[in-house]
Amino acid sequence: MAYTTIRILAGDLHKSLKQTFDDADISFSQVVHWAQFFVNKYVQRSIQSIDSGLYLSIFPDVPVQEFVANVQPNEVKGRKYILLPDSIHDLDDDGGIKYISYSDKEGACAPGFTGKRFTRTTPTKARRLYMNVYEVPSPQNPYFYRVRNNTYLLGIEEINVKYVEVGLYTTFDPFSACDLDAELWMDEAQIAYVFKSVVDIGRFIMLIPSDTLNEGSNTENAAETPSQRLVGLNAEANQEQPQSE
Amino acid sequence: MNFSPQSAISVDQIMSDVILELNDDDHKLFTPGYYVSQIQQALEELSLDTFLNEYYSDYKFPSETLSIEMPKGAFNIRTVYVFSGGCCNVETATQCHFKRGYITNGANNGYTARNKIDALDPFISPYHYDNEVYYFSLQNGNVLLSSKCIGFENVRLVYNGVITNIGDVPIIPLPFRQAVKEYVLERCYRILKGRNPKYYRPLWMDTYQTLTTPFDGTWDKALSRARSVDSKELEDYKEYFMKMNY
Repeated sequence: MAYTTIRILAGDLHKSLKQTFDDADISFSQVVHWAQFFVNKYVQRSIQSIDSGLYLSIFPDVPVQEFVANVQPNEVKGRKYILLPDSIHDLDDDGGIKYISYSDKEGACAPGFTGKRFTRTTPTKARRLYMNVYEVPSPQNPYFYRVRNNTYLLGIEEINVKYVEVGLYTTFDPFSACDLDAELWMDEAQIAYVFKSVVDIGRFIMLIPSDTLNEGSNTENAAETPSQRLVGLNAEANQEQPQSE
Repeated sequence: MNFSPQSAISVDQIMSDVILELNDDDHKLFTPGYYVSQIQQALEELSLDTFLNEYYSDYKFPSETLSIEMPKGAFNIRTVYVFSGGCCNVETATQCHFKRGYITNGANNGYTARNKIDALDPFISPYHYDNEVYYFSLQNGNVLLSSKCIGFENVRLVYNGVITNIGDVPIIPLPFRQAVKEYVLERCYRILKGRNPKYYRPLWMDTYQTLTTPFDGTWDKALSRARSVDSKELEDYKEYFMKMNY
């Protein structure tokens, strides 16, 4: 099964817009950029409303790193972290990060996500965890919290975890992929909405220059603005005309 | 009722059921540790209600302090023995009896008690063999032994305790499976109904009812199972009682 590619979508949109505004300077990359807005919008909406693996991306070997010095802001010496390998949808409760896990068994047959899974927390919520012996961050009970593009890992300070597996809801970025024939990973039923939204934005942008045209009307002098209601010449005749039965 | 430790239920089995019912596979609602903590608390409550779990611990006799701290998780001392020899070759052993109000600071420091051989109390007739018997009392989580016990090498405490000590991974007895599950669910829904009353309050009410309904509720069923006597034990009691010459 082949999904729609950005070349098909953007090419169709570009052609449609050029048909309507044939003298407009609309580049193909501009259309791709507009499509990007709405692909991300509708994909995010789908992620929030349905449970589908279509939008999940798995990164099996994301290296665990440790800051060696404090750097303002957001880099704290001695804390283990991973860099998110791609930009993600910013959903509630860091929902763009579906899971982070590491395998605690060398050469385990089970998939990586069945290993120890990091539970999401925040720097403020993490304090409570240390109050309960069962919730204290530990290799058996690890946590993560996100600060911008860094995702800090709690509970594995004392052990050597080199890589973690990460499942992310990544955003669509056609400019980093540099492949117009890459499949557009979104529900085919949503393509129509993307198409319509891009056409709308294109039409809107094309209409904006008309406001800057000099139409000859003076809108700056308020005294010349009619103060009474303007009535058409045939208004009276129209009122006297009996209504047809 | 007794059960084999081999048939005990693991924490993961309970959590698997609970997170499915709460729709919390991603642990967005509660951390895994929170569930374990609630399972532990359910077992503590069941232990306190049922006195199901009976343990024993052996100690070297504290010949100076005459005092032993109650073991972690213990909440009801059933019997105290003092014995000579080792735990694998018990030689002389005797039971200690409870003495009300007995307090001592250690060997050769004397003691106070309501009933004492030299008490000048016209209302109480003291035991004349007060110093001849083996006894103990409980004070602030300490087992205080009488000076008569000096000479024995070891002390054995038999007590009821919570099924799993705090911090350990809980092990759930088979008869308690449903009660523990409902208890954890009820606690989780109780928190969730504070966040979203409209959605979670009916769920909490259903779970609360399933847990606490008298006789048919999972908690009452667990208690009745724990308190029921094994068939052999029951038959033997009947046998003994029938042969008494009333």
